[in-house]
Amino acid sequence: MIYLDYAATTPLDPRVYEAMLPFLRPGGVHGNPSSDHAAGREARAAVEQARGHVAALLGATPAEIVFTSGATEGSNLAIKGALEFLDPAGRGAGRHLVTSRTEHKSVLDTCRYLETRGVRVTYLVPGADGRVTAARVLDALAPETALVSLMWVNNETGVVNDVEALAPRLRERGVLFHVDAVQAAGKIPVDLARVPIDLLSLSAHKFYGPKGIGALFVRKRPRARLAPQMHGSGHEQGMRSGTLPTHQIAGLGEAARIALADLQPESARLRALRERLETALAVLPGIFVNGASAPRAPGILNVSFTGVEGESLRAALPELAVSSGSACSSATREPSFVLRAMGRDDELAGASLRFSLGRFTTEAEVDAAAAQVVAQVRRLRALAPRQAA
Amino acid sequence: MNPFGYPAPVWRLFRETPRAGELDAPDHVAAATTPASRARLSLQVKMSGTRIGDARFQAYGCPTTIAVGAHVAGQVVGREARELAAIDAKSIKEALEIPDDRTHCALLGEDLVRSLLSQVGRAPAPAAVAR
Repeated sequence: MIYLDYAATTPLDPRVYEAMLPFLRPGGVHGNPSSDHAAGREARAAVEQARGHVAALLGATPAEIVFTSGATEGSNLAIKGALEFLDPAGRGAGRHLVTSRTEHKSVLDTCRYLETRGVRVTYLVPGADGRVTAARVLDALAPETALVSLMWVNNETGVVNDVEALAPRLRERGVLFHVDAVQAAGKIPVDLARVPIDLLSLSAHKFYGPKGIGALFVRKRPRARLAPQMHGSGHEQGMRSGTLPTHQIAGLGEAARIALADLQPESARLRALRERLETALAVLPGIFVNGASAPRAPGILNVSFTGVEGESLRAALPELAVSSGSACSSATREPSFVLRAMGRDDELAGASLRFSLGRFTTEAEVDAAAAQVVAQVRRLRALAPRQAA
Repeated sequence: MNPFGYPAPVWRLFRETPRAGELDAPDHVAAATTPASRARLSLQVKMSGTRIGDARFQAYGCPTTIAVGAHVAGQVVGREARELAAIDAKSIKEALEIPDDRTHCALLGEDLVRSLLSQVGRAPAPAAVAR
């Protein structure tokens, strides 16, 4: 099997695995990081070292990092927590929130929940290039807008939204800015010392860390204030209660350290691999590279194929692990809104493949994958009857 | 390798697609489609006397649709017109172990056979008479 689904999840880096072991193995460091004895202090030191690595990856300070179970929890805490802090009784009722139709479900469903509590939400549609521009967001602002939530990199197309241009404009207007950076952190430069984003969520398993751990960046200056969504013993500066999972956090920290150290060379390598794949697929007529005219994260290539049916395309490639727009394998039967917004009809959106390359992808894998796709698209096209005029 | 869990007969026919393609100078061409042409089946046959001597299919649709096309193409060969009606959605569904939520694919196969029957049941096409 050729694994080209790194945007869905990544395998654990062996170095991350090794970094987690001291906190998992019998006789290892098992203390509660909150405990004030030697075992607890040893665990706490590991947690704080990891916090430092995550902060360094983001250009943040360690005190601005709140550990969560992943980006879904991080985005819930950021959006619901910010709105609720502003209006504890009404959970933000009467406020306005701006997001886009192409966000991850963890953001969209959080916004829908807030709508049931009286928050007004504007869902922006991306342009034909797949981008949600700063101008579009600014046009949607209203006097009661409390928060904007926008993903940095789109998970389907790899298209990069211009959050760096948007952030200072929102700061000027006093509007909080939450960014889902799940596909950005560890993949493209993120420097929160320079870009005034208030809240930013990430997941470790998208950059070779373990599943079940993530972080939310919460800016200290000016301070982004959140109402906790998990109540308990007041961990993580009162924003996220729950005993800290030392082994998971150590894994996240090591993953962040490696990602930062390798960012530039790995980015260049992935970009070259993606271009190699794109070139190899270009021998086929009737294909569309989605987001080709916009800046894209280096490892993601989304292609629509005319003349083939989506489910058959996916089924014809059983030895490739790629994400598909077809109904048979995706969690939802709705055609991709992202691709439809970019001008692809339902049929073509369904006949789309997302290839996402990563740290362990080789040129040989890319070549073999491209050869399989080209052969199967040709086979399925040859199989199709000519359509009556 | 059938990672998507298709029924074994569907998977085999989708992968191998026996009798895929077109015939030179077919005697009859049958077709069936779904609303909005999301799935299309086409069947070309050559007669050998009163029986179907050869058949080829073409298909656009999901793997089950493609398997149904291959199955029908294989089933019609050697049959006379009066025997074609036995190839209905029920028999297709059973032969390919098609689950209920894909019954529409079997029905498309039945539509294809009906389309063929409407032609084979009539007087032979001129080209067939000429031979």
